[in-house]
Amino acid sequence: MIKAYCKRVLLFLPYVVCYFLALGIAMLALVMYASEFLYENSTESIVSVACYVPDDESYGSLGIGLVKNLDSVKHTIDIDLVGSEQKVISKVENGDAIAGIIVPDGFIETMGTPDARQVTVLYRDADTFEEHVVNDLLYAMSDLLGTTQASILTAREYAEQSGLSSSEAYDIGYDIQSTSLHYVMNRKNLFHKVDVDDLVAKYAVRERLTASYTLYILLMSVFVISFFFRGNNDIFRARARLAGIRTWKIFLLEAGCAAVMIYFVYLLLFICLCFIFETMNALSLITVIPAVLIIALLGTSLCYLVKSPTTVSYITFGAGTSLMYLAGGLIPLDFMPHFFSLAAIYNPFYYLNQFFMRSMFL
Amino acid sequence: MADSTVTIENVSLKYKKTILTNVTINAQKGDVIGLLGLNGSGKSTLLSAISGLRKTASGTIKLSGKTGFVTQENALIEELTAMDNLKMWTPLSKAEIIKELTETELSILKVNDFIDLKVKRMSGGMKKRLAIASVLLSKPDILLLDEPLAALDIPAKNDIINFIDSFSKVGTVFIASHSEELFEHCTKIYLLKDGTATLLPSGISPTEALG
Repeated sequence: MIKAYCKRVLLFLPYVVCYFLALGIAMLALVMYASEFLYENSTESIVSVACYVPDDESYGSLGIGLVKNLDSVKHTIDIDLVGSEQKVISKVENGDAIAGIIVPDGFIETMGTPDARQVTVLYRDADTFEEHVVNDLLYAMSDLLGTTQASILTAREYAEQSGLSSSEAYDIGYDIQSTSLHYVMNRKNLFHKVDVDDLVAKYAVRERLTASYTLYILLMSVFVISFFFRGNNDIFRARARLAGIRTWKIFLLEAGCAAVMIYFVYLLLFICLCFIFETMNALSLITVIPAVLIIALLGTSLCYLVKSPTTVSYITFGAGTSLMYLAGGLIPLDFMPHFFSLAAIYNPFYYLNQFFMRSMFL
Repeated sequence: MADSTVTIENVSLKYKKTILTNVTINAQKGDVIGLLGLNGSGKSTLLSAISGLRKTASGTIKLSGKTGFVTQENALIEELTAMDNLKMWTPLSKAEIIKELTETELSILKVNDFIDLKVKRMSGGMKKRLAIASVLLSKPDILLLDEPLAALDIPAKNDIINFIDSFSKVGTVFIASHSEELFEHCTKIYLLKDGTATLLPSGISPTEALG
């Protein structure tokens, strides 16, 4: 029986490979288009940051000017220099800016002294993509300004510190906060501590989407491979039982075959991606094996439970696509409402997705 | 082959509801037992119980000899050839399988004529012959056939009927069928009706019995 199944795998592979290579190429084209669209030079800045630098802070103004011209900043962040702290607050309040940066009076003079003044960064209720960008800006700016001293507050907190009534000063979502600020503070410790969210911020959209789309393709392969399974057929199982072969042995054999086919799909995708990305990690050919085994076992279990390939395809596409979407696998969480980021931590696909991202590109 | 006998005593079968009650059938080597009944009367269920795939609700089924069960739907793998399908279920080598197919009673089935053909390219008759050959390679003493002539053309039917005649000389055959021509070759016919199995008296045709 094992020989027969090996032969079946060889016969099945061309169909599986052709199908998913075509799907892979289509998705890769989508990834390329999406990333080009987001980052092409002609694209207008997608994040607006209001910045106040006191008139006497010529060095600070020079720093901001330099930051504005950084490649990593100029295509993604629009730094809007305004004339007063109140205008910064107003822009954040009205949603015209995703964040505000306030350089205090005497910032340069007190630098390096016990009385060093802090740059204040105000955030609107966003801890998603924009925040990563703003946060990067903060680091770049801090470096240029010669300090990493910055106080990071929500607009509401700043209003309270300034003695303003938060209700009259802002109508900014209140629910930002701890998640967002913890995240930001983690980012401040970036060089000591790396967590999942940091990785999300660290990798370019292109790599992130490629990794998650690769995972999506492997998940969807269950739908094509469902036609391979025979152990979910009552007649076949009966025949096997009469021949003295237990169902669990067929299950394991078929799950093993499914894993081989899924892995082969990954191998081919990996080879193709190596021509496009220089950052591909060859070690992933080993590290993805547990993920492939999990997908194969889950897929085989599903096919044994559901039996009909048509129903398997409905479930795979329906549940698989939905869960991948909610895990930020199809559209990055950064581009989705805040709720999705919170919900993702309860989604196993989110971690599988992170695993793939780390495995393929780290 | 061993002396093949089947003793079914007061067997009741359930599938969601009670299908058959107090079925008693005795079959010896050389018997061809026909199971006649309308759809849902319990023919396939009874064969499953004899094969050991289904448990009885009550009563006993005693078998002496190995059973081979050819189900109504086949368990063949479409993308493989006839030879690959046969090799899946037997430890015999390719040469030994060819020998079995050409030099024993299996030659009647003419499976060797399409041994390298993929199942998906086979006709219904070829598939049925292959399914029977696949079961027969394990050398059963008791052969259970569920609708063996369903949707077959005349040459294929004749081959299978000839094979049943040949096999009955060395073993016991149980056939569940609607086919009148097949019952002509049965030594005993049991009518499965209203949850019971009764021996059909000689002289009554299956069509008459079913009303």
